[in-house]
Amino acid sequence: MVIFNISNSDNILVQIQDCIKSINDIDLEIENTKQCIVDLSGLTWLLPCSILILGNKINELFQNNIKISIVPPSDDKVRQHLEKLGFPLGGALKGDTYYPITYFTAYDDINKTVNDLIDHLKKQIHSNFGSGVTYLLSELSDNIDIHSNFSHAAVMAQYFPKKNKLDLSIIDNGISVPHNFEKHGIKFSDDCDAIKKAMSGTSTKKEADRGFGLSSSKRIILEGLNGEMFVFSRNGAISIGQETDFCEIQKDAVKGTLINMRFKAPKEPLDINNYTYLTM
Amino acid sequence: MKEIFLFNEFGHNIITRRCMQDFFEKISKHKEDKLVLNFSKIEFISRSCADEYIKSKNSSLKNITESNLNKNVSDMLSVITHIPTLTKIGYNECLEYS
Repeated sequence: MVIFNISNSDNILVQIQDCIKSINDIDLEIENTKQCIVDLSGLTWLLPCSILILGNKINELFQNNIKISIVPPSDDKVRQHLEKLGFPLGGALKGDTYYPITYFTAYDDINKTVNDLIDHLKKQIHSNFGSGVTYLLSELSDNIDIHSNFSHAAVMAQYFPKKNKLDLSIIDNGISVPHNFEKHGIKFSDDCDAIKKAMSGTSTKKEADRGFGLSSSKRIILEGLNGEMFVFSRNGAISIGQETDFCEIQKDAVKGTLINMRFKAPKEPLDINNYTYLTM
Repeated sequence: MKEIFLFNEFGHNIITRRCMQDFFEKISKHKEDKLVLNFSKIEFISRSCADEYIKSKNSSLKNITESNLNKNVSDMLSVITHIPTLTKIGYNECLEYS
């Protein structure tokens, strides 16, 4: 049995570290016993990105016919919150302030999945976000599709209307940014450096006009949306933002890449044309 | 001449390079040489997808024209077309080339 002990914290780094450790414990248990009981009874608080990373793992195991049992959270509010968001297997109804966990595989139509998310968000979020959120979701999902060699991925969003804030999380179980760079002979000092290089425009594609997606996304988040972005890929973890700024090598590796973004609606309508074309 | 409504192919937003590659593969099999791509109801095209569109269009054997582009889509396609210039100069100058 793997007991999930997740810190009751708003700190994304702390919660993700706890999640990754527990998920690696699940993998270890399955390797040894071919099955696993996941005990969530002690959970008291989970950030959206933690819900996504845990749900995505459980869904992946179900899809691969691994026998897995879940002990639900003892706290009614936590249990109901998770159910509302479609934890762990997706399929929940969309809400006014959230887009539930939505899974997609390499065989699904990613364009259709992301279109549905964008169409829903546009109806809920402040109009001053403009096309900023659409731009970010499109570049990140295209990166997963083209570069990650994933089999399972998931996305979810939560909107806080009173604060005009939006949390977006997207995860894949692909080969990770550092591994992809290694495959293509791109040098980097450590896994954080690999993520930073990707965010600054280094691309595994040889064409001169590639690598703009992430670098322009970074500018939109920082300058246009007053937001912050957390990227976890293999052993690297970085944040980009006004208030948070870290870059750490993690003891436990995430399998694939997890991106979590937090934005505030700008005071004036965002025109992405000011950011998308000037990069590098 | 054949008119193709892109909303029916992609929805409101055109997101991934792969969907654009698949689309050009599909239209290469049409009998007609002249194709009009109708962008009505298309609200957004991603930067990556706009890049893929321009490349695929340039290498296609079909005679392809566009209609009903909104400003968002038109701006993105225009900028991607001029990308070698745009990486070196500012946005305000870029508009003069659009």
